[in-house]
Amino acid sequence: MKTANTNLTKVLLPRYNKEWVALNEQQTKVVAKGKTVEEVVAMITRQKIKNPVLTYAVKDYQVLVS
Amino acid sequence: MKFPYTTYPSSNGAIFFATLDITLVSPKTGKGSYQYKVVLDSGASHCVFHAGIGESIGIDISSGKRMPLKGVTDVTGEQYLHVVTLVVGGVPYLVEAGFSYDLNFPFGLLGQKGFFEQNRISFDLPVGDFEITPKSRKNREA
Repeated sequence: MKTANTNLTKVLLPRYNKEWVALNEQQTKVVAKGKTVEEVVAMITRQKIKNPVLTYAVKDYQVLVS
Repeated sequence: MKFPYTTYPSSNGAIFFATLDITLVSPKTGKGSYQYKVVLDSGASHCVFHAGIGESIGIDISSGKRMPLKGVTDVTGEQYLHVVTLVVGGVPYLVEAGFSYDLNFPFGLLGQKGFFEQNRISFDLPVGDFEITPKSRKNREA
């Protein structure tokens, strides 16, 4: 099983830094954000968003490997 | 199962990580998480996830066995071990994983014990994907 390639450069840059975000099912936009997982989960549950993907966003992922 | 590398923003334009979206399920509560991005990390001795994800499925994080967490924090942090089911590409894996409030990293970590030991994993960045092949049913849920 191979899934479609995901490019998050335009979705995450440069607005989100050091915060939890929820992406929509297609991972084409951020549908919720917050300082904690709890905040984001509450938001997507309230909005009844289907199949979101949670991640912790940072502005520059290069710093992870330098 | 083949998964594509994901492209993330960086000061150099873009960077690739072998991340995938998994679901965590608590065997105690039966509650499953929303999908959550993790990275295949051959340098991690075992799987480690953000405490908030564990809390979202009803795990009492600090009730687990406490261990130090090194390498992915600014200073030495702490993690708490809990048994959890990971669902990766539709395949469930029962693993003992660390949950930490100190995981200073954007992704959860799929590490050697619990995940790499149950799979054969090959990376092919030039092609743009990586492949996870389960080795046996050991520790896997039916």
